[in-house]
Amino acid sequence: MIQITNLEKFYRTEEVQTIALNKLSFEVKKGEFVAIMGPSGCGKSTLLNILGLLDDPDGGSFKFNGEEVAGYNERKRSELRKHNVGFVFQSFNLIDELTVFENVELPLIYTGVKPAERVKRVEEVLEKMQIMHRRNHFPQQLSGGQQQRVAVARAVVNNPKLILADEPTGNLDSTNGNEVMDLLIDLNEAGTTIIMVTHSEHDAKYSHRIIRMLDGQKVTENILI
Amino acid sequence: MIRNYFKIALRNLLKHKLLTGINLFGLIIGTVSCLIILIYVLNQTGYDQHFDHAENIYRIETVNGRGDKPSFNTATTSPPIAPALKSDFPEVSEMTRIVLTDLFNVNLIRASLEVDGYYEPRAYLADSTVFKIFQFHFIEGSPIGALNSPNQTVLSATLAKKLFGNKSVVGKTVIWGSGAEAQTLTITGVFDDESTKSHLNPNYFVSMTTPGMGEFVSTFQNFATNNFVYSYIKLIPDADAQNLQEKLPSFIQKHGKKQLENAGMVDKKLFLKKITDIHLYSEGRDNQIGTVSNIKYLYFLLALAFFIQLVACINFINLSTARANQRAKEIGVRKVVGAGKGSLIRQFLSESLLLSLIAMLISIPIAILLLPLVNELTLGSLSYLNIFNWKVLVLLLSISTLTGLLAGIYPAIILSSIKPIQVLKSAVQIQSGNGMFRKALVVFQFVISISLIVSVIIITQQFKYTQSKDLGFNKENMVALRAGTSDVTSKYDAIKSNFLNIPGVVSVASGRYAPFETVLNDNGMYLPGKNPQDLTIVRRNGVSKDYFNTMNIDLLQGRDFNATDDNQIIVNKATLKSFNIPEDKALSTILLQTHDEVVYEYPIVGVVDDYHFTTLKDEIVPLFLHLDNEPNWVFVKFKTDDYKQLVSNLESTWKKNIDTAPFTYVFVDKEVENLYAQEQRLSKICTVFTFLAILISCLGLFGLVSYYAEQKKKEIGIRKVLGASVQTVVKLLTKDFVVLVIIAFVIATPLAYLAMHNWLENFTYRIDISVWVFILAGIGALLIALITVSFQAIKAAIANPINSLRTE
Repeated sequence: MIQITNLEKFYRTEEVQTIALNKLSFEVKKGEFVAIMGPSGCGKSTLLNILGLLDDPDGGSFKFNGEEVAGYNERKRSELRKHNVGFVFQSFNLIDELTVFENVELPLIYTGVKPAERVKRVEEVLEKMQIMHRRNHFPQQLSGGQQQRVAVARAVVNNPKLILADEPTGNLDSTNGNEVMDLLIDLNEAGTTIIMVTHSEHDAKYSHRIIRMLDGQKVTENILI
Repeated sequence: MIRNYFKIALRNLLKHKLLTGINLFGLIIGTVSCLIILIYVLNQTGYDQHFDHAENIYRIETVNGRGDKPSFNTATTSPPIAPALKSDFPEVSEMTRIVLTDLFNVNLIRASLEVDGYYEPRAYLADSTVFKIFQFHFIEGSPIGALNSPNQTVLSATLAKKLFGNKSVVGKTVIWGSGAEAQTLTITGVFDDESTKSHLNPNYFVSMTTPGMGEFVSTFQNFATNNFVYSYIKLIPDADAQNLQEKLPSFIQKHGKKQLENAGMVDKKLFLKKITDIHLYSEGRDNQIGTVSNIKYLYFLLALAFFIQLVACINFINLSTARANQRAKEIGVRKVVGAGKGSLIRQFLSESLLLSLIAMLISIPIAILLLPLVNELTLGSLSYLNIFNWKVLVLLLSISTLTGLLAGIYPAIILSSIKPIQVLKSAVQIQSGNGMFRKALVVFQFVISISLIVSVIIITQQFKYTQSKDLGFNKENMVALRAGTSDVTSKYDAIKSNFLNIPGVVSVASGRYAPFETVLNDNGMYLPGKNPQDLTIVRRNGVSKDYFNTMNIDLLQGRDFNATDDNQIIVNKATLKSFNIPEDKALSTILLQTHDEVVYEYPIVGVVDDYHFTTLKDEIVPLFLHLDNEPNWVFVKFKTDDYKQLVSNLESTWKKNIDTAPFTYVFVDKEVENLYAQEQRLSKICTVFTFLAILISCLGLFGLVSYYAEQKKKEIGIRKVLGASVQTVVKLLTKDFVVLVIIAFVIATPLAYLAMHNWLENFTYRIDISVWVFILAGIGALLIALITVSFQAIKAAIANPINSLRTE
C-alpha cells in the first residue's frame, strides 16, 4: 500500500540545513499495523506528515496504492488525503467550537456526503466508540480518553484505508491508553492499515512490525508476528 | 456546508466577546452612518425626474461677461426669450415662464379681507402652459386651462388647508396683496405638494396674465434686460439639445442685437440646463428658484460614510489576522480532515459576512431612532419610510455584503494559508499575515482620524469667524418686520413715530432688502463722457432716511437722504473703486444709466463704508442706495433685555395702524446666522463623524494591543523576572503604536491642509490655516491613542510573571 524509496526531507533556515529524513526506504502492506519508534528529532513526525500527505518530500519516491505521489501539489494531496487517510494526534486536536457530533461529522462534510447519510454514519461510529451519550458535548467537557475516542471516531468515519496515529496515547493514562490501543487493534482487524508513531514500547507491542529510526534513517526493523 | 460555516461562525463570535463587540460596534456605527447618508443622498437625488419626458425639459440660463468673473451668472432670462425660442425652433415643442413674486413682494395671501393673511413664499406667476411641462397631481380641479385667464390661482394642498381648512376650495377666491394693489384670485385647482420632488417646490401659482408684473412679463420685448424670468422649454423626443445650444448665440443676436448693445450686454450668452440637473448641479448660478443642493456636498457625505465603514473594516481585518494563532489549530484540523483552501476561505468569509449582516440588522432600528436628530441636523424630513424602500434595502444589503467581503477577504486568505503541520504538533507561534500590513492599516485609520480632527477645527474656526466678523453693520438688537404692502407704505411715517415711543426702541428705518437677503436688483451704470455700452453693474437697494444710522453703517462722506431726494444716491466704497472715482471727487460725481434710450442721472450725495450685504462667500461688490418709499422691511433697533415685552408692544402698535398686513418679525442676528446654516451643519456633521472615526479606531487599537500583549506575555514575563520595571514594559508595548500615530500625523497633515485650503477657497473672507491646528490635532490623536494603548499595556505589565511563564 505504501512504498517509500530513498525518501529525503531537509529543513533549511538561513544558516543551517537539517536533514530530517535521510534516504529512508520501507514498505507497508495493506492491512498491516506498523509502529515507528525512535528518539525525539529522529524524523518520525516528518515521516508521518509525508505519509499523511500533509507535506512533500524533497527527494526519493513515495508510492501510495501504487501511485507516485511525491511532487503532488497541495490540492491533489488534499483530495487524496480526505478519501484515504485518517489522523489521530497525541493532543487530540478536536475543534473546541464544535460538538462531539460535529467534530466527527467534519470529514464527511468535506467529502460531500449527504446530511442524512452523515447522521447515520456519525451515529454508527460514535456507538462503536461508545461515546454516543456525549454527542452534544463540547471537547472541553470530556476527559482525555473520551476526547481521544472522539478523535479516533473522526479519523475512521470516512472509512479511510490508512490511519496515521502520532503518539495516540501520549496524553492519556494507562487505562485510557489501553482502551485507545484496543480501538486501533479492532480497526486494524477490520482491515484498516495503521501506521503509529510512538515512544511507548508497550504500545508498540500491539503492532505487527516495529521500525526504529535514528537521525532520519531506519536502524532496525522487528517483525512481531 | 453553509450551515456548518454559519454555525461555527456564530459560536466563534459568541466565544470571543471582546473581539466581536469591537468589530460589531464598529460595523454598526459604519452601517448606521452609511444607511443614514444613503437615504439622505437618495432623497436629494431624483429631483424633477417624474415629469413626462423630463430628459427633454430644459431651463434657459444667462451668463453675461467674459472671463472668470462674469458680471452676472443667473438661472433666469429676459422675458421674451422662451416664447421666441418656441416660435423659432421646431424642436421646441412647449415653453413656459415662471416669475418669483417674492421679487416684487406681493406674496401676501388671505382667504378673505376679514381674516389675517400670510406672507407665503414660493408664489409663482406662471404661463398657462406651466402644467403642460410640469405635471403636478391635482387633488381638486384640473390642470387643463387652470391658469388660462387673468386672476386665476392654483394652490398647493398645504396652503389650501392653511387658508380654508379641509373644505373644497375650487371656485372660491383669495385676496392677493393688500391695500389698493390687492387683487381677487379665483382658485381653479389644488395640487398635491407632498409627493412632488421638484426644484420648483411651488406653494401657489398665479396666472401670468393677471394685472401687474405678469402683464409686464407678457408684453415686454427686450431680449437684453430684466433677467428675472425662469424660462423652461420642452424639446420634441430625439431632439438634439447640443445642436440647439449651438444655435443660441445667433438666436440672441437675431432678436436683440441692438438691445444688447444698448444695455452693454454684448457678451450675453444663453445656456440650456437639464431640469433633472438643477437640484444638484447648479453651483455658481445665482438666483435659483428655491433651495438647491450641491453634488459636492453629497459626495462629501458619501466619502465620510465610506471612511467610517472602512475604519470599521480595518478593525475587523487587523483583529482577525492578529488572532490567527488562536485559530491555527482549528484550521490545521480542518485541513487534515479534508478542507481545501477554498472551503476555508468561504468559511472565514461567512464569518465576516455574518457579522456585517448582524450589524446591518441592528443598524436599521438604530437609524430609525436617530432620524429625528438627523432631520434636525440636516433640516430634512426623512422618515422610516425612506428606509423601508426596496432601493435602499437592496443598496444596504449590497453595502453590508461588500463590507463583509472587504473585511473578510484578507484574513480569509491569510488564515487559510496556515499549514497544518506547523500547528498540529506543537504550540509554535505562527506568523499570521504581514505585520507591516497591519501597521499600515492602523496608520491609515489614524490618517483618517487626524484629517477629520483638522477639518473639524478649521470648519468650526471659519464658522466662528463668519459669526464674529465685523460685517460693517449692526446685526445685534435689531428686529426686522415684514412690510411690503401699500398700506404699510402709506402709513410708514405714523408707524415709525409710534414705534419710537415704545420704551427700548432706539431708531427705526426701512428698506427693500434686509441685511440677510442677497441684493438682486442692479443697474448697469457708466460715468459721464464714457462709453454708455461699457457698463459697470451696480447693485441697488432702496432705503429710508435713518437707515445708515439704524444699521450703524459708517457714512464716510456727504449726508443721509432727506425727504426731497429723488435720484440722489449714496454709494459704497467698492463703487468708487470700480469707477476709479477719487474719494475727494465722489460727492461731485454723477452716475448715468440709459434705459430705453433715455439717460437717467444719479448724483452721489454720500459714500458709506463697505459692508457685507451678501454672504462672506462673496466679495463686496459696487452698491448704491436710493431713497425708497415702498419698503419690504421695517427695521427697529432696540436697547432692552425684555424682548417679549418689546415684541408685544411692537405688535400692538402695528395692529393699531395696519389692518391689511400681518405682524411678522425676525431678529436680524438670527437671520444672518442662518446664512451660514450650511457651514454650521457641516461643522456639526463633521464633528459627529470625527468622533465616530476616532472611537472606532481606538477600539481597534484597544483590541490590537490586547492581542499584542497576549502574544508578548511570555516575553514580558521573562523580562519582569529579569528585573524589568512596569514602566519599561509599558514602553515596550506602547512605543510601536506611538510611532504609527506619528507616521499617520505626517501623512495626514498635507492631505488635510490641501482639503481644507480648497474648502476655504469658497469664502472670499476666510481664516488663515494655522500650524497650531495640526499640532493640536496630532497631539490630540496621540493622547487618545496613548490612553487607549496604556490601559492594556499597564494591565499586562503589572500581571504576575509566574502566571504567564507557567502557562507556556
